[in-house]
Amino acid sequence: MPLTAQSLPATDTELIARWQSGDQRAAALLVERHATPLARFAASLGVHDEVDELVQDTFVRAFQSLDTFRADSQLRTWLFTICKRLLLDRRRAERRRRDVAEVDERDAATEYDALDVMVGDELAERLRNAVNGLTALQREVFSLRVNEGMAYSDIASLVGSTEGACRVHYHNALKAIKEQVHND
Amino acid sequence: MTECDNDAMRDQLPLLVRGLRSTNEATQLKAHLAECAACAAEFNVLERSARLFDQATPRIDTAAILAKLPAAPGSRPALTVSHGRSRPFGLRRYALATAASFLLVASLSLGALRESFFGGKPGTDIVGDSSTPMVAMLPVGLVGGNELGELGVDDLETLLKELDQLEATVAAEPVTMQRPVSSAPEGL
Repeated sequence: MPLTAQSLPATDTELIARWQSGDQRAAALLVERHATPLARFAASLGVHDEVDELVQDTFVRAFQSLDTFRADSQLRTWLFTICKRLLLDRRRAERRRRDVAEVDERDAATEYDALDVMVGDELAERLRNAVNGLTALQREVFSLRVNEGMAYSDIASLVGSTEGACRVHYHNALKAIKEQVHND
Repeated sequence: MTECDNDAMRDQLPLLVRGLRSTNEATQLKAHLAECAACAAEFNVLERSARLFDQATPRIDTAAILAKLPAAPGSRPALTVSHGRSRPFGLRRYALATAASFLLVASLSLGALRESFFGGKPGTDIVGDSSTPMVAMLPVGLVGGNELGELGVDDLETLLKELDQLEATVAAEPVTMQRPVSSAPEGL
């Protein structure tokens, strides 16, 4: 088994077991480990101001139903799934409030501006435009692969697609970004 | 720029960006990057993309998250009935209170009966002096079932002692009751 940056003293499964037997510190370790990746994932989905709140709600929901978590999957993938469901629920609720038609989770491409951060140079500006120009699904797959190093099988279960399709989405996204960055 | 044919290497580039490779694997990948311009360019794009995503990610207040999490299952207090009612001491307290109340009511009732039935009759005079509590002022006939004239001095003294003990018990009951009741956290 390769030694990676994830090789921390206790695995997620061990920490969950410790928390379930009354060790509250295990929860702190789990939160420390997964909060930033969760926030990054939320931001990559186009969440702006409520990233903090969304991450918090995700952890609360996860710990409330931690006994339903199956150790054969990655905790982080499970957390991302919860986060995404919460986000979709919020967006649906917002749309209902605005009396807009049913939300499609893949239709957010035109609204995406989460990467509208200050960039230091022209190349970075082009890169930002390129990422913003991806479809929502391409961007999600690309983000999960680049930010989390997530396996295609996990990405597939998270986005509701197949491993092969996710591989294609990643390479299409990368190709589009490279073209825009190098050819503009 | 043409893409590299080494899919195995290309596939690991995103993992290298986040340091998710072992030392040996990272060394091999970096060696490949040194000689493959296509992979080096791709790695550069991936690194910058990761940085862009990082810049768009706000800091998370983990303390606020922890404050909202449910308590660890094993650390939750067991569900129990109210402490005050389940403790033997609570039951004893109730029993003592009931006994004290009963004694007080009984003594008052007997005193009233004595006043009603034997208030002015000779031979049913008060046993003891004016400072004797009401319980001790009962007519001897009611207490012992004997006529006063049939009792000797010893019998009277024994009866007086018993009445004194009863008086002491009645006087002492409220005192012993007050402490646990006032100190009970449940406010019983």
